[in-house]
Amino acid sequence: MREIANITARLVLIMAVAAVLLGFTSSLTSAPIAAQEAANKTEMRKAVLEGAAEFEDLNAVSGQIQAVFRGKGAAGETLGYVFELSAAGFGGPISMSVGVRAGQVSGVRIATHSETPGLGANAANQAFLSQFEGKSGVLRVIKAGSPGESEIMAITAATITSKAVAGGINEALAYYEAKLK
Amino acid sequence: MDVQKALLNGVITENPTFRLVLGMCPTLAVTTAAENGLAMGLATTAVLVGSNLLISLLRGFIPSKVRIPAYIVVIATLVTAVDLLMKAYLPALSSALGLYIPLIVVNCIIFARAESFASKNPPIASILDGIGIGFGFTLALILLASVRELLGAGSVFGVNILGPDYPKALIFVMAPGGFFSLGLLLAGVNRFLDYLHRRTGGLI
Amino acid sequence: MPTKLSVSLSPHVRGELSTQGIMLRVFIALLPAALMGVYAFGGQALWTLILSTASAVLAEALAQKLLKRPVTAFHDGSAAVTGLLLGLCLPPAVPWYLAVVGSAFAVVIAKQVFGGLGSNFVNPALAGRAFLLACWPAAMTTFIGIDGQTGATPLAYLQSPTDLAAAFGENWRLDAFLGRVPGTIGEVSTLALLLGAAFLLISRIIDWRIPLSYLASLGVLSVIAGVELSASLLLGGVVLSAFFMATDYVTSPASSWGKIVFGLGCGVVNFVIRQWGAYPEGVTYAILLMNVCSPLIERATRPKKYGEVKARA
Repeated sequence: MREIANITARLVLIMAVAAVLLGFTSSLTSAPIAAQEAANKTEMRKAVLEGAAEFEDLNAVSGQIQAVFRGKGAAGETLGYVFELSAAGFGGPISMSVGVRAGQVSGVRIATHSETPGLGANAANQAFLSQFEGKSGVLRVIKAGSPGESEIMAITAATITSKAVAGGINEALAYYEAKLK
Repeated sequence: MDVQKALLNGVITENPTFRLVLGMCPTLAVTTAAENGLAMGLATTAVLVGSNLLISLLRGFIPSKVRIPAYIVVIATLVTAVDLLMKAYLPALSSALGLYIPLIVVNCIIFARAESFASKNPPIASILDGIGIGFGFTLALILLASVRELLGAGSVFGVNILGPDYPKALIFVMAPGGFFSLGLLLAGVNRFLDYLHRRTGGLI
Repeated sequence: MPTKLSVSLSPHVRGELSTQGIMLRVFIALLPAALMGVYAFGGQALWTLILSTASAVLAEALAQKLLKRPVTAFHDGSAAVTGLLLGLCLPPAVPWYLAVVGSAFAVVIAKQVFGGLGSNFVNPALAGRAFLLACWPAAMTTFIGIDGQTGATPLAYLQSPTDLAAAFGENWRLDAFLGRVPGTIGEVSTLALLLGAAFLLISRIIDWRIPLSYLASLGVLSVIAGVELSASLLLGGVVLSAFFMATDYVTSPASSWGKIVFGLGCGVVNFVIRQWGAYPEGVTYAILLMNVCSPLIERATRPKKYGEVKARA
């Protein structure tokens, strides 16, 4: 009995000290971490909508779209919109940002994904994503031949990932056409 | 226990990957590129040294019967704290290594060294052991990752070696390739180390 | 003492056929399909087959040498059969290294590393194919049509017979049966495959249970799901694999009921992969998965020994 009490007391003490240390560290770091995350998000939005200085959250959620931002220039004028989406990829959700300026795609960036390395993971490269720039309407993914006006070349052997990304972009464009024009 | 002995032990005699066969899960997950292997190895070494030190300092206080939960709490607290501090104050490093830090908690190597070394040895020796084993782990990761990256992407540490026309054997940057490479390396490395052992008359 | 008596362990009665004999017959049975494939796709198909067969034999010889085992690669024929089977599973115009690496992997990793002939736990040719599919997916899924252009195989249209007819003509069923549609080298001519299979069945090399249960379960499930029966059986590598791969002695159950269960399982898994999986063809993984289940199936379907009664609980 005495032994159990002793062991329990020591264990509780270790847990308590650990909890206090973690609590302290967490409160110390929560502000910088939040600031860092906000900065990362802003960086990504700026990357897809060049020239925008400020972003106003329009509090819109629809389908795969998690957030819509109005991108404003230095003088407060509307330059375009940034859509943050979670598309259903091959290996899990693909978190992406799509910039739309005057009805055309101004940039696409992929934040996180769980696609296959060497195949679907190449969707995060600008070599694939830059195809979308300047396009509008409903985009189709093709596997062979030369992509036309509204067509995108899929990544070899990663059609599902390519279609998922294109689907997200199509949704953003559709939303723009319907609600923001 | 001096640095040289600790290093020799960690790299050869008790190499965590090829001799102790510990930490297989993060090993397989991370070794898709040599750079990732290096990063994970260094991060693990840091955590290993820290946890070895802490466990060694607490070795008189932790009752043997509950040592497993006690070690896990210590290790997890250490790793979580490191993770939070890095995210807050070293964001560049964190985004490079960030994925690996939480993985380290489940790395059996940390726990095994706590159990088999740090709990029975004084702090300085424990630190040295952490450095040695961590270094051995890092080398093993780099070796495995280089093989996988070379076969699967034609490059090592990002430097393209096999030319642009090399048909990349994609399986090697995926899980099955990891298993094949690790299995064959395990066999090969141990064969080589046995040979070394015989040639140096038991020195290594 | 007039006669010398010798003591030896069982077996005391041996069948007439040696490993060599069996392998030779399987090889011959595969030749019609191989010839049709070469006829349909030309020199590159022949080159692929030669490469895969030769690489398999050489790789096995090398592995046996390095593992200090007797080198039987050149005369027991099993490596040659594995190599030929793998070659028949490849698209006709693959780069040379696919045939070489695939064969080497099949024979060395899936067979020799685990103990050589009789000790492989999965079908080596299919293991090689799965390896190649993961290494070079683009090359493994690029097929050429009769006219030499790259294009899809009829299997891609499995779910929609109308598109199939549009793409391959109204006579696609006859074409698929005779060997005038694209696909891997060995799967195109169902007729040639059936000829070889008949030969093996008649000479009792393979047992009818596995192919029949495999094709039956796949056919029935496909019909239930709305896929045309002839499409599900004539297209893809089902006939090739049901008769030549699933029936591999080492990796399928030995008991009669076990064989039936095995075949049914292959059909079910194949159907599931085709219907809901990300791949158009489910044959490779269906058989590999069932290979792995074989020991369990064998244990569950062990035939009763004469006079055996269940122990009272």
